[in-house]
Amino acid sequence: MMGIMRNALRERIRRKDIYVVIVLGLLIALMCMSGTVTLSIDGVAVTEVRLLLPLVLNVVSVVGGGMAVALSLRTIPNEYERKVSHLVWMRGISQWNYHGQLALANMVSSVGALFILYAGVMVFAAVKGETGVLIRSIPGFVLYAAGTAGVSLFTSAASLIFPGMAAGVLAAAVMLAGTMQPVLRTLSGIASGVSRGILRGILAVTPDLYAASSQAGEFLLGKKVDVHGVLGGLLFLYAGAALLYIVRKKECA
Amino acid sequence: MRKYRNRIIAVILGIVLFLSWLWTGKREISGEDKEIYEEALGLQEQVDELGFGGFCLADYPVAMYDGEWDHVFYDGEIKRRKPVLETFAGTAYPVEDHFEVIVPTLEQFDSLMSLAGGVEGMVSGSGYGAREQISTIWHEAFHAYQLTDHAVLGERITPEEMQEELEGQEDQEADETADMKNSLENEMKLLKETVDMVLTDTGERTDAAALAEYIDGIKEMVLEYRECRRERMAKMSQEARDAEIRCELTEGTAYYVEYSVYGMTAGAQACQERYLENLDWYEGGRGKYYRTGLAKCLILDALAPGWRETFDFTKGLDEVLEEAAK
Repeated sequence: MMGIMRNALRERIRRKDIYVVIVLGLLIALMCMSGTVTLSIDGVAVTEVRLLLPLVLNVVSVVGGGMAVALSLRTIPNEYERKVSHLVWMRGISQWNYHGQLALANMVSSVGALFILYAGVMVFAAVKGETGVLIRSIPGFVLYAAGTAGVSLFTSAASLIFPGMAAGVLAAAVMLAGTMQPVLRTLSGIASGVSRGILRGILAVTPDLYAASSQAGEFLLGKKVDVHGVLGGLLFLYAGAALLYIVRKKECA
Repeated sequence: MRKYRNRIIAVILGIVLFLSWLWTGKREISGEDKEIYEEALGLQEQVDELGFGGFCLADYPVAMYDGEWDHVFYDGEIKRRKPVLETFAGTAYPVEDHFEVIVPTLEQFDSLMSLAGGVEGMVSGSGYGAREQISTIWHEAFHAYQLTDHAVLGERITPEEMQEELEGQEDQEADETADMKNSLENEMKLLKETVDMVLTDTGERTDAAALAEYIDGIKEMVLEYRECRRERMAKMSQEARDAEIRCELTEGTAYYVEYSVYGMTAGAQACQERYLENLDWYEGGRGKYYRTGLAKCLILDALAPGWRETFDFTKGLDEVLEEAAK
């Protein structure tokens, strides 16, 4: 039943692009941990895992979002370009099912790549003896991955509507605006006139991916989780799925 | 019906998710900001000891702006309203027939710091945290007190007049030539030396002659400072002179209250590092007058203990200092 998704995943592994993206992501994560990139506040180096963890998770979340865009952008358009879709219709598989399975493959590969980065962060926590963080790591990942999964579904849906470059730019813009929501909110508080209107508009139409991923950090550290942030991530995930369901390719409709 | 069952379930799920998201949306100010306000209020008794008659934080609504709403603390309640000032600023601002304290929430300040090169979530590391926010609230409340209870330099401004003045305000920065800058830097050095002398004094004297000698030493430095300042001010326009005197009086005393409150929460060492080590730093704009004003208040503490009880803002700090140094 999930044959299309399995094939898409196999192809993804064959293409090896996922490895390139993961190596790049791992490199960034390792730099954050190894001291090659040091963080200092008022001249004091920040090495405390409880201070570093939210920051590293934010960095990994942005990298994960970028990977989700890269991994999800071409899957569905490539299928149509190869003109193999008619073989699927012949088997009586609906367009929604077809798109859904391809998008699911995108989502699984994006979340899988994110998990590898996340595992790196957990190794760092283990080395630092943060057993509490490790115990909460699996449910923490579920919270953490919602935003990345949403970005993947949104990119898949955008790739159905727009040509490659436009879909990529749009998905990347939504992802970046989502992960930079606190900064945009602050800027909208400083700006005035048209700039304020534009910033408020961007804030209104983009998901707060920062809140969604930062709640995972709060959860991992045993702090109180803001349910609104988590629901925001899930809502974006739902919106991506709904968009995929609604959007149909004209040639096959 | 069976055909549409899955779709109906999916739509219901979406509606439930959306409504839950709306329901859990931020409608209240954070617990941290509430604690900050409560802690600020709790310092009233200690602030009373400073002696500024009738100065009470609870008299003024304190609005914390979160980038979208003002959360107004007043009379035991927190009310949300559309922002009066849609920008991040610490100020005493006219609202209807009264003055209110307006500050950004700590979260917004955190975000502002991250924009300015700090790191999100590390406000305390950036040098601005709950204690600094409490001090800022008291600073701005002192402005509200100046404007509400006093005629600053003999001029009482109503909230309506203040509103009009702010709307028509243009930047009226006094000319600061290199010569004037050097003079002012020299004055700031003299003030800092005097403050250092005052604050390092142990107060352990066995006779009246030693105390008189100490006070004379301070007076001498004040007189030296006065001459330098007179020379500089003689070269300035009347308008620039008045602006400097007014700024130093209002901001200097408010900065003194801020300094005192910070000392109450953070301790003497932290207070010294934050407010006194840079007392002679010159900078363009109004910031330098905060520091010269604070220095004069600290010198007055030594020359005229209890000066605050009778202080009514009708005279500039220099005038009061000169009288004390006679």
